[in-house]
Amino acid sequence: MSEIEVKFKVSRGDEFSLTLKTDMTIRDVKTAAEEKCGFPPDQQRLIYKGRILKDNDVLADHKVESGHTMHLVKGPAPQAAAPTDGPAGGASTMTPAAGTAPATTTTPAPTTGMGGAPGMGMGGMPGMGMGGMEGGMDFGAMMNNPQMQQMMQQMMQGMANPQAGAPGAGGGGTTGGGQGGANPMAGMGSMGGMGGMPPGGLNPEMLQAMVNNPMVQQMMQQMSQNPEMLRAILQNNPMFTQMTAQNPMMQQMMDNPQLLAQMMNPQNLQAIAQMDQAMQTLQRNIQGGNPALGGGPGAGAGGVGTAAVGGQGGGAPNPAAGMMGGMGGGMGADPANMALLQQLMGGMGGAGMAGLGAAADTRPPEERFSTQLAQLQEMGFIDTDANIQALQEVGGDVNAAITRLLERGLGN
Amino acid sequence: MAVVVPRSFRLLAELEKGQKGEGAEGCTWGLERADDITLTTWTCTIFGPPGTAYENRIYNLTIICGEQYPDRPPTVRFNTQINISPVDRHGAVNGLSTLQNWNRNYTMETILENLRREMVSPQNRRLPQPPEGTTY
Repeated sequence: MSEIEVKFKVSRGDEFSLTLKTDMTIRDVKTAAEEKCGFPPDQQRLIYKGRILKDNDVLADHKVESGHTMHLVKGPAPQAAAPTDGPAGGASTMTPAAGTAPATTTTPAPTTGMGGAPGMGMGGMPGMGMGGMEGGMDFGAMMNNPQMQQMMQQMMQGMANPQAGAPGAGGGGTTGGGQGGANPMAGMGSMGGMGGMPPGGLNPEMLQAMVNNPMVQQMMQQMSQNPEMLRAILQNNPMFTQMTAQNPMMQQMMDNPQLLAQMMNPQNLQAIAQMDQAMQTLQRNIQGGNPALGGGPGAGAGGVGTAAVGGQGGGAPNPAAGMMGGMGGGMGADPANMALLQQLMGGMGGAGMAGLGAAADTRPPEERFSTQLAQLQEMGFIDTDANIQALQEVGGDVNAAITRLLERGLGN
Repeated sequence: MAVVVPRSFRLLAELEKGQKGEGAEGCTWGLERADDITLTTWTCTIFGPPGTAYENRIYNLTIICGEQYPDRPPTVRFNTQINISPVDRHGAVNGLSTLQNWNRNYTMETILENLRREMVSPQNRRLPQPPEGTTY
């Protein structure tokens, strides 16, 4: 839970703010508001984002954030529950982990999900089953591919070995092998376990070892060639679902196969460990409350959006880097998202690639900024030379380029 | 230079404004489902203006912003029963000039604000209303 500062607008034009905790119920909020507005809780009706809030709801259910405003209307006499339409959307997908991210432990404990017995791995991926997979996925074929099966088995064994606590894991994988279903799922399960790993628990050596494991590499490659599968996994990760819910642009990101492939690139994965540690340090230093990491939340969303599109540059050596930078900037904007970002890094990997953006790029600017240029064109900026110049000045950031272009346009 | 803001950017801006509650007096809006990545279905409220037949009531509406939004107006419907000139007896808002003379610079806020303005207009402010809390 975290503390947030929420503004209240009262029907006759009065305003006040309260410092609330996200685990408070609406009833608690009304009690806290009574002193300021003078209406007894029974007569208060709180409206937020088009909904009447119910007494038993918790603030976190509605994703109330600092700086947001609720409307407080004085209702008639105390009555039964206020009429409300529709359930709180998306609330049920919240995981308690979301609010309590910075687990700074580096014990090997979290890695049990990775190396663990098949059953455990699957547990790490809530709701995932064959049925949870999107249709059209080439899952069955993959299962029946002997190479793949073998790979999975070897991987399971390799992973289980260092785990004193899971001696049976390798065996489990082997026995499942013939059935086409159980064994590959185990492999998938270990991916899920990875997804569930708390951010602080990302063990650099472990990751290094894993990334260097040819079996894993091969699997990564398979995964990257099958974006649907990765997407299915991610979509079944509640943390990720939540993130997508908060930021619709994430979906676009996931719809880009090139980017997904890039994410699964072992070299990039290796960078995550470092990045993750950096993030931890960063978060410790910031102490959660400092909003200086990026723009406001809105700016953040915009950043992700444009950067995501910008990242689609086809054969660019590192098309994902810019985008991830954008994401880092955008998501970093507020502490709650920061926690999410960290979880995503721990879970999905790849996200840490922001740090890779420095790779030198010698291609001509038209090529290098081709996606950004196309985007600017779509937005109505038709002067290609001016667009390139602006993009060069700001290092390819479409938002910043637009600002420049507009400034110049006004100056003429 | 005229910049045509694409649908998603527009709706994200509207979403943010709705979250911050910076909208016109007596109006709020938000996504019907927080995971609606198409930003299509919105749930909104209008608080009945004081001194009218609508006073002390909270009206719930659904606004659907189609693919063509904001080039085309969204569809707007009351879920809470209301008796007011621009709304038919099924709750559909079809007589509002904002929608009839739609302009791509109008937002959901414009619609809600103008509906609320209708509530205080001389022809509507005293209309008898259905029992409170009834829905279509």
